[in-house]
Amino acid sequence: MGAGRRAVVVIAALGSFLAVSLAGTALAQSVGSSAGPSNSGPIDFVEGTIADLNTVNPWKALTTQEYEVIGMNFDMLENFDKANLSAAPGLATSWTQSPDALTWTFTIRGDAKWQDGQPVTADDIAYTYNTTLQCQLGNSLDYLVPDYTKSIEATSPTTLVWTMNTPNTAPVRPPWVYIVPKHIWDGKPCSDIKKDPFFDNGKMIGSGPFQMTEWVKGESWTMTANKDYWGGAPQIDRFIVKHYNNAEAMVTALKQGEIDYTGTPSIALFNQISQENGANGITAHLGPTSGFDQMSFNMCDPSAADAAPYCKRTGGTGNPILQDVTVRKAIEMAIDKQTLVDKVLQGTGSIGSTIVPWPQYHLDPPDAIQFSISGANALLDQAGYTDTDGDGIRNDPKSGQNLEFRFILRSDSDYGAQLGQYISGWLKQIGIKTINTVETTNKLTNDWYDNDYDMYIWGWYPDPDPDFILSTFTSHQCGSWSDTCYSNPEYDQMYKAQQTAQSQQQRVDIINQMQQKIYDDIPEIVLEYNRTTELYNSAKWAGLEDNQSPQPEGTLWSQYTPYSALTVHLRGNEAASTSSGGIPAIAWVGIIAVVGIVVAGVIGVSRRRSASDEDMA
Amino acid sequence: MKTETEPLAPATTEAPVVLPKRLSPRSIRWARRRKAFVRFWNQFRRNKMGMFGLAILVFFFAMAIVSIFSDKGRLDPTITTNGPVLANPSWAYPFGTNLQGISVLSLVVEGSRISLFVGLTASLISMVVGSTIGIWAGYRSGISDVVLMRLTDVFLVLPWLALAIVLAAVFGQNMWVIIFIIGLTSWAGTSRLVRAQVLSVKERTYIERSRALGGSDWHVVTRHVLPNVMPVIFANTILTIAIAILSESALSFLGLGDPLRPSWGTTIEEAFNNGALTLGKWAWLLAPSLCIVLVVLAFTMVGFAMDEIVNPRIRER
Amino acid sequence: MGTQRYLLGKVVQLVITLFFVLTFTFFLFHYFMPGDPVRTFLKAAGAKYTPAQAEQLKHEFGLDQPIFPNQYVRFLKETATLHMGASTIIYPDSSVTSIFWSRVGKSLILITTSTIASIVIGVAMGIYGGWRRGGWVDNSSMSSSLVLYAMPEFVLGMILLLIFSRWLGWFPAGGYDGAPVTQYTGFAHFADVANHMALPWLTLMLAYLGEFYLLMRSSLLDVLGEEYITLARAKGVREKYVLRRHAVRNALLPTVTLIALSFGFILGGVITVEIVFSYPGVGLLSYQALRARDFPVLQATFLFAAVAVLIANLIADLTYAYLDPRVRSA
Repeated sequence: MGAGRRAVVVIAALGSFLAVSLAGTALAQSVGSSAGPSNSGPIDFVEGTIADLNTVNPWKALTTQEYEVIGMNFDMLENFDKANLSAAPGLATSWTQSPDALTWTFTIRGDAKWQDGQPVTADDIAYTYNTTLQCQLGNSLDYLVPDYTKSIEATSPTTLVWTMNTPNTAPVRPPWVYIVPKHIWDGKPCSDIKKDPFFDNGKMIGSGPFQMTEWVKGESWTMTANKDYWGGAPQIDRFIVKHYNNAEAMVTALKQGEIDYTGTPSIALFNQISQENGANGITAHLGPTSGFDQMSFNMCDPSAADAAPYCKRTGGTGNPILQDVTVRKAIEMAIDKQTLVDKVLQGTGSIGSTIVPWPQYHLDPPDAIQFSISGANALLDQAGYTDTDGDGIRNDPKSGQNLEFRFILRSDSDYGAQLGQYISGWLKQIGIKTINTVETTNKLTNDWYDNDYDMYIWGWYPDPDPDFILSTFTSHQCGSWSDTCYSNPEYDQMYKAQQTAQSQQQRVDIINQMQQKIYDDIPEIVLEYNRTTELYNSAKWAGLEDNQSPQPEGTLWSQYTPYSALTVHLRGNEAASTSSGGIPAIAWVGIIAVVGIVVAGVIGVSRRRSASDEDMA
Repeated sequence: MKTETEPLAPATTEAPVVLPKRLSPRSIRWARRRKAFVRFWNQFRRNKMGMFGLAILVFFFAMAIVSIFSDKGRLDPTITTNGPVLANPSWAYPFGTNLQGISVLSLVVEGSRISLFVGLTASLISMVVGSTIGIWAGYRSGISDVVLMRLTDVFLVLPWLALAIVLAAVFGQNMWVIIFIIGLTSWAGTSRLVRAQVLSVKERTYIERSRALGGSDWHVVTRHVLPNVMPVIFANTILTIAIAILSESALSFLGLGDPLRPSWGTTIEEAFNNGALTLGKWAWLLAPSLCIVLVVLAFTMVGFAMDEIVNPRIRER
Repeated sequence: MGTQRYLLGKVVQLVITLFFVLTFTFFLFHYFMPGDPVRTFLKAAGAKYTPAQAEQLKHEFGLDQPIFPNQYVRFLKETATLHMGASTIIYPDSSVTSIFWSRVGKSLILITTSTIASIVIGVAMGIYGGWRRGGWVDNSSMSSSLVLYAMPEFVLGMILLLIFSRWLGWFPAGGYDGAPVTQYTGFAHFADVANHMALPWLTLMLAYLGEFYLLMRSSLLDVLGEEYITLARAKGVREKYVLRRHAVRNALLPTVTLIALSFGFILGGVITVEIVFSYPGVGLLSYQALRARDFPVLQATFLFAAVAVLIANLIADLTYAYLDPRVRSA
């Protein structure tokens, strides 16, 4: 075949490919415009996310995305209350505490069913809790307070009795443990349960309003409505989540109507859409604080008398100069948290102070540290940290060493490196040098296990109940969840006290004291609180704002409360089309025709040419 | 003395060799090399493509030198706190600003230094390693040749980015690791080329004569083989630099770049992952992209031009 | 019989390379890897770190045995039987092979169709450009090829995304198909996939088009330089068509070799393009595994890439054998 012929074949192939591809566009357009309340297809609510789903094992869940799925597929003993995330009826309709405060009795509802048809009983709950305790499963183990729990038993199909050895409000915190069916899991060894991928093995059988029915790893996962849900049937048929690799493509898809909602837009994109004020039928909703970013110091000093046990065992390489609280205070004073909120968070957050962000428990420290470079300089001067060798970096009066600290930033954080860059700049202005390294989460985790670091930046999305985040500062969490290996016996005592507080007010008081203590001792600096940013197609969907959680200002689609999934519904009127452009069907017919003619013409021409070829043979 | 020469034919008339005052083998050698260089330059000058490329390179090297002396404060967000975030191009900010309010122009100027440095260093490593192996294999023949060539073939076949990814995952991501990785994944091409050249040089009689006269291997290689192979190596290295710069940009795009040393690639990555496309901040994305394209284009054009002059097969056309 | 010997040689080469790749992978992931895999696993599992658990896991992973030969042999055995472990971070506990299964097909379609199109069009244009040297077609093709060559694939992808998806809205911004929102079957599904694949396909095709064009053109010019003079003495214009066929045949040989060398780069391009378009193939998976430092998955994607390029090279060698009569008659 001559080169010309070859090229023609390719052009023909290209042309047909192009035609087919454009047919796809026409198809997409036609589906988009015909979707609406009157059609016969399933009513789908599609979420877009850039956070991939890693696991759906309820005991392994760590990320918001995972909790979203698990929270819709499974129930808990008590749900999180919509308004303030305290305990609300879940599988338990009511509960009482015995006069001696040691026994909690829960009444379990009779109308809950597993998604395979079997009824839910108190046995399932007892099984789940006891298995969690015995196998030491998951991140939520602490919610079952192993130290204070004597027994958890189902005394009847609708009665659960939880006996403690110390008066404790843990059973109504509420315990963040999802209930799994005993008839499926009973008898399995702990290691099997730990490693089970759940969905892959067809084990996503819960009692929640939705059931996960499809998972194309890396691309999407589908949850189908459970019409027999005890809390009422959802008004959508399917909840679908599509995974995007970058916020770009995702927000474009939102604008084109391919997805309906996202909770993970980039800050810049969120702000841009905010400024449009719903012009394109998309609402931007700025929610409450969801977490914070912190700068942690290595507080492990193996030679200290009250050093944490793990710190003593493992040792550490933290710079001893950082053990001086004055230095840490100067560092905090040199950080302009407002600029961080304005520039890095672009306004979607607030200045950080204490480690508990939730309004019910948050303490605003009475004499908060104000940003002042001159103040920080003065503080360090007074404490004797002057620059003795004239290199622009302050020196430690005791050892003569430069104030140079290793500063680790996470590469897989959205803006961790940015935060670090700002902080380095300010610290330079007060004569402190930082040696910045960027590490992956895994590498940082290793350094952290080895106590081989000086300072780093990380973040937390604390649980609704402050117990967990407070526990991370206790000494026995060093080597486990403690960011800094901070160890203070007084603090440990306060932690126990708030766990066994007799009244809510007493508990709040103790928690305030704990926050103040951390704020004063500065094992870490809470840089800023970040808020949830959500975008959704408000022209098409309604029912989200009513159920934001917590209230009044909440997240529309909360990971804690699946209520939005129950109330979201299509708006009555015809959905406004948000798709932009696209080739109408008639146009693509024309395009195919043109391509066809061109191809035919070229083939015809080449035929003639190859005919003359053969003539010469 | 005729000074006119034909554009495509090799120069037939040249200025006479200026004899040095002290006649020693070394000074004669250097005089010859100078003459060869002048000859080469005259030819190169006439190649439009090459000169155009060279002009672009001069511009970017100047930019890189400027960046060494420029005020680092412009890149420090704590100092440029008043910079508007994500600004559109204007007189104050010709390419707009990025997410922290830093002028994209400053980023591009700073990036030129890093991108060029990584490209040059990596290809230097690649050239040294590749040439050494190529010369050794081609000159030695026998077992060394077979083994080295098998090794070269293995590295030729390995998909470079997949290899780079695993190396970076294991060894971390700073500039020197990147340089090492790029060098490691690109030496094989040079090695093959050099070996082929050495084989053809080996056939020439003066090599035989040199050996007959008792010349050691080292002597033959450095005095006879190397000078004849150098032009080809050099032309190839220029092309390798182009590839190295493209490789660095790809690695940075994957997030493997050294975040403390902004290069063009890391700026593109930052722009892309922060929604520059959707936000309509084309300049942020396209300014560093344009620089990469121009520099790689320039190196390629210069490399092709050099190839035309240096490669005997093309020359005779 | 010459073909057989030639191909046998190539297969042996492939096996040696494969062996080298496997050994290299092993030492990289089991010897040089920083950090303690047991620790990483425990941390990823969200469990508290107790020495007893660590010891038990160590034994399970076989890490308490000597690296060479025990761990090495175990690695070879497991890889050969496609038991490549479970993902530790991205999809914990899911087997690596199951993760691969859905992704491989998508990448393969994209890579093979775009590469073939790129080669065929590039070569055809290169022939034409080499033949009509100096014409405006040649010059403009040269310039655009150079520009395409100098442009990183992801930049090209972003530009096409900008033009055809953002501004014109003809194609979606990424993904593989509309599923699960749209449940097409048959031709509709095919069209949907084509719709999503069009831009990444176009990006990959254009990205290497320039290079193949330049390769073929330069190759043809070399050949024409040799034969043209002698054959120019022969009669008239008609002979040119016959000449063209001979010239092209000979010029194709070194081009095939050089094209084979670019497969490694094409695979690299696939990775970046899949990222730009969020195309859920193996390339995107490598990127995700890289970011998460999910070493079992990383290991698998690296091996896959190496094997894919090796097979592509084998195909190129087959093509070479087909084209070169000297091989056949050796």
